[in-house]
Amino acid sequence: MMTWLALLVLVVTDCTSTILMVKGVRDIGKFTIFPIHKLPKLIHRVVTDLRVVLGIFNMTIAFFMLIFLLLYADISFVWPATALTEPINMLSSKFILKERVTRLRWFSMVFIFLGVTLISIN
Amino acid sequence: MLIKSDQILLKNLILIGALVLLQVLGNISLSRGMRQIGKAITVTPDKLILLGMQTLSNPWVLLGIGIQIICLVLYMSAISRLDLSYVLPIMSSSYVLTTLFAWIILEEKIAPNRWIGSLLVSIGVMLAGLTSIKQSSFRGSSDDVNL
Repeated sequence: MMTWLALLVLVVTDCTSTILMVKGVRDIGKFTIFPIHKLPKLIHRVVTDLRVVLGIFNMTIAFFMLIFLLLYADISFVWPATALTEPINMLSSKFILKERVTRLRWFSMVFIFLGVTLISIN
Repeated sequence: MLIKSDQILLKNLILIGALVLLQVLGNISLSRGMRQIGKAITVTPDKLILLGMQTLSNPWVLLGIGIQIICLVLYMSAISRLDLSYVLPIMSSSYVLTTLFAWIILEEKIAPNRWIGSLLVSIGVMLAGLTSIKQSSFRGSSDDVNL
């Protein structure tokens, strides 16, 4: 029960984080490390963007949930189980981020989802 | 000699490849660290503090966290230049690789259904990559691809 509850929190916070960060980072512009002298300005823009900050906060919760889950189960179960975020993220890409998702991509997601489900079966 | 579009494609592939590999190594490192700490059957508030201290002082966990921070930077770079619906399917190969590395490095016992699942995930990832690799590589085809 504790495992699935932690997994639920992980999935929700991870999906929220993805959407917030994508929206924030895209408004900031391309995230590049080089040239180095432009990095401080870029970091400042990142840490002052509320969506990115909330995204990182959600990602942190998801990360600690992952660590917590590893107390209860093997990584070969835990990591594939986190793929429950994938179908939700794909829907978010389509309907929130308005990205074009081809039929074949949807089809590939079915494969990934089925595969992840099988991996997750104990 | 590579033309510009091929260079962009190559850089994007290297970026996502590095991201996936580091993600897997980070997972393995975290798992090894948490194994050393042991299984938590019940979690009470006082045990939680002790658990947190043990976790944050374990070298494998710290290494895993360090790797995950690098992954975060690479991830932000990837999603800022590529479609999320392209990045995420490729990143899902980390599920297969994590299972493989868990079997090899951590010597976890992997049931047949997990291996079959890994194969299905691989096929799905390959399909996603084949259909969208060109399209996504040219998104916003500016000169600013200098990670």
